[in-house]
Amino acid sequence: MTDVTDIHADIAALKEFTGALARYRHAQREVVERGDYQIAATRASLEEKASQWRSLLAQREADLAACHRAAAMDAEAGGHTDCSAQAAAVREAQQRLETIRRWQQQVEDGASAFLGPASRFRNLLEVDVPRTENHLLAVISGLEAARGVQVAQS
Amino acid sequence: MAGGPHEDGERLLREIGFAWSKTQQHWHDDMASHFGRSHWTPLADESRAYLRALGECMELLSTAERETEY
Repeated sequence: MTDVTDIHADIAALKEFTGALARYRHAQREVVERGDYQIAATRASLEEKASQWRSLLAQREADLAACHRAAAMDAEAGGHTDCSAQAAAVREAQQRLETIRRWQQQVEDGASAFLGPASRFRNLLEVDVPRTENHLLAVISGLEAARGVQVAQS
Repeated sequence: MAGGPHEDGERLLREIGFAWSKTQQHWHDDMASHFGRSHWTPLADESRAYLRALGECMELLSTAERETEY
């Protein structure tokens, strides 16, 4: 004798798949949120680094200016003050700040390019997948009604 | 969830793909074919496109962090 669950295996499989789709939708929504969070965190981190290097640059420029003033006074007295270390420190801060600014721009470009696929996927999860789940529920109801059964999910 | 978001997303896509394959073993009438074309394929394609873009974006973010670590 054939088991009734074998005859209605399609209905049971459809019920299982509908449940899997709902879980997929919830879990991928979390993935989307984590992706968005990661972008925001990197933006904040780069801005923090830029801010630190801006402060350092301002400090180093002030040190260089002080050195130049001291060098001018020394020169009047016939002495010599070397400001090359302060100048190098300023150049280093300028270069690092420039590097951070370049990466900030690249991250903005990357985030802009990501907007399209992210928005389509969000729409898929919010609109299309629930519609698909409803479609499957209707198919299941149709099959059950046609066969006069109600199959429990395995 | 253990890896980066794109890695977890790809694992979820593999799992739902596996679930769909299992379903197809039991459901293979005309409705199933129509469902595959009009629902499953767009869902899988759109998911793949997003996860590819997410992976590229995550790679860019980690490179940006690394290159600005002084």
